[in-house]
Amino acid sequence: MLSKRNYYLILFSPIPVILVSLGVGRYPLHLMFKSFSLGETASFILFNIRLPRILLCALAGATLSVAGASLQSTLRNPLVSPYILGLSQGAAFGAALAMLLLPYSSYMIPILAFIFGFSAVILACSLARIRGGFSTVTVILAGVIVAAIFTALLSIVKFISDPYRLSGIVFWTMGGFYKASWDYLLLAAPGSVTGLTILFFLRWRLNVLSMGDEEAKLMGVNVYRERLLVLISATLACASVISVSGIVAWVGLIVPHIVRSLVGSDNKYLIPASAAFGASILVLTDDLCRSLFSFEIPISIVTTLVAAPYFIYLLRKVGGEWR
Amino acid sequence: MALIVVKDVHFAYDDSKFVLRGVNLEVKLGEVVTLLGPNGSGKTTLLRCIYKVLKPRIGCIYIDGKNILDLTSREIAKVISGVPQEHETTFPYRVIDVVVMGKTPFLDLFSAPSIKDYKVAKNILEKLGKAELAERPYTQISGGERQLVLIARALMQNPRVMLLDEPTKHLDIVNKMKVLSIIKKLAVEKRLAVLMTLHDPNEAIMFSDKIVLVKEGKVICSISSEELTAESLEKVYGMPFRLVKDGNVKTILPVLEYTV
Repeated sequence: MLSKRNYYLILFSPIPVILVSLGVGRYPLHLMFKSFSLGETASFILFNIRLPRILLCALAGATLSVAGASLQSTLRNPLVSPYILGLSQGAAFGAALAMLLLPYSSYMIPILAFIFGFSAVILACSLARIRGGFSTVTVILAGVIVAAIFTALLSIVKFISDPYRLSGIVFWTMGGFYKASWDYLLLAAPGSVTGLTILFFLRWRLNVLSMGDEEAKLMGVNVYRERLLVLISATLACASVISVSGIVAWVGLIVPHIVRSLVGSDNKYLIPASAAFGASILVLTDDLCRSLFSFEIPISIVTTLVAAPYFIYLLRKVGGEWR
Repeated sequence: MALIVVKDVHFAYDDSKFVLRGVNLEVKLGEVVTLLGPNGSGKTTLLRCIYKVLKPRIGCIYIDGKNILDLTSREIAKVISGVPQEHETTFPYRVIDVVVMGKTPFLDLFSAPSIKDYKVAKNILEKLGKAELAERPYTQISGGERQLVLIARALMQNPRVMLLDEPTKHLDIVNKMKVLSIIKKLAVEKRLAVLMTLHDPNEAIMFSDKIVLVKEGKVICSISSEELTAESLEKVYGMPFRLVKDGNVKTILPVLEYTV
């Protein structure tokens, strides 16, 4: 590990972030506490609006970051993320399809999101596989192709939706937690917590997988089976989150990079730290989204605008090392 | 008894051309065997068949008397470890993290190496004289050092057989000698069976017990390193060689037929 202090700082960062975020919003904090007890309105706002939203945000941030880090390791490619691999777009298409066809059964949304998210991942991986290995370039290109296909399919869904539903889908593809509630959290949590748990326990194995197929096999790894397990877990986690939050861009790419520079590349520490850092970052970003203006800003707009400059800096600094 | 037995192995990547055409080979405990032959003669392919990355079309490979087709990758990795020819680095893992990966065949899917394993890894690095590298990112060390790190990782597997594909590639002469001496020493001390490929006949003579000459996917001859002659090399490489003797030291030099 690069720094034990960094690691523990990151690991516990979500606690203060969540506490502070509970106080962020239109309804001011000083009105909430009157003589050390919460009023009815205040407690409703705090526990039924802000808390589920913040928890959902934290879960989404953790999920996208851990999925990003795991995909980067298993495809041995520092440029991969759920968004770049087309996973997000596939899941978004599946979720939108469910919203269009089955508007009254919300539990179908994560299921369809998983099915199409996983199809996107498998399609991208099989397109990228050349002579028994993944090259950095082919994975990115395959991701671009798959993302384009599912974006086009999503456009079809938008095209045939009625205007009322269309605006819903459009807002949702820009990402946002404005609809968050305990119901939404319960919809996303089973899949994403399951996926995250598997990836958490698999995390050291990701080191070995990132050595490449042949070397991993030399060390006794059943590469095909273990990579599939990583892909399924990452997709399950992401699709569940995307079903309720829409597409949140860039988080899954940037967070692992930042964390890697702070605690090192060993996935044993990278995965938990990415989860905590991703959760903190996305909660803080959502704080901005809901308090900066009198209206809400879709979260993907902010994550992209914040992450892109960082990535440009990264590209300039270490770009030459990525082949 | 021979630890690795290769029996009549044929291999082809596609149906048009066989890369291995009936290879027979044996490697015993404590013995260093070198495969020598021109580019494309099938040396790397043979090694990849032995660690089951490739599957022979015809023929069998036995490790410790067991057919490798009956063994899982994990079971094979507990006996055989290897250092591949090309290692592409991706993430800047610490050297110690790379070495400890050799523990993988002894770990379950959901577990990680223990503190004791990290100590063992450190000891191995120390024995190779590279303890100071432990905390450095393995992407920022020299080629020779990286080769030693990969050998350390292979030793972490606590193998009985080590396969090395051109362990001296990209190394300068000092590092070549260092790496090969370490390999030879390990074979003797740890009673390892070592099978490696080399391109320099002199390195083969200096560091191996047995030399196997390979050409076009066939073993031409399997001899002790003292028996290597200029004629046998000429047969394999298709160009004349000259053997120069200086006391006990034998050197093989290529004879240039053309003058510029």
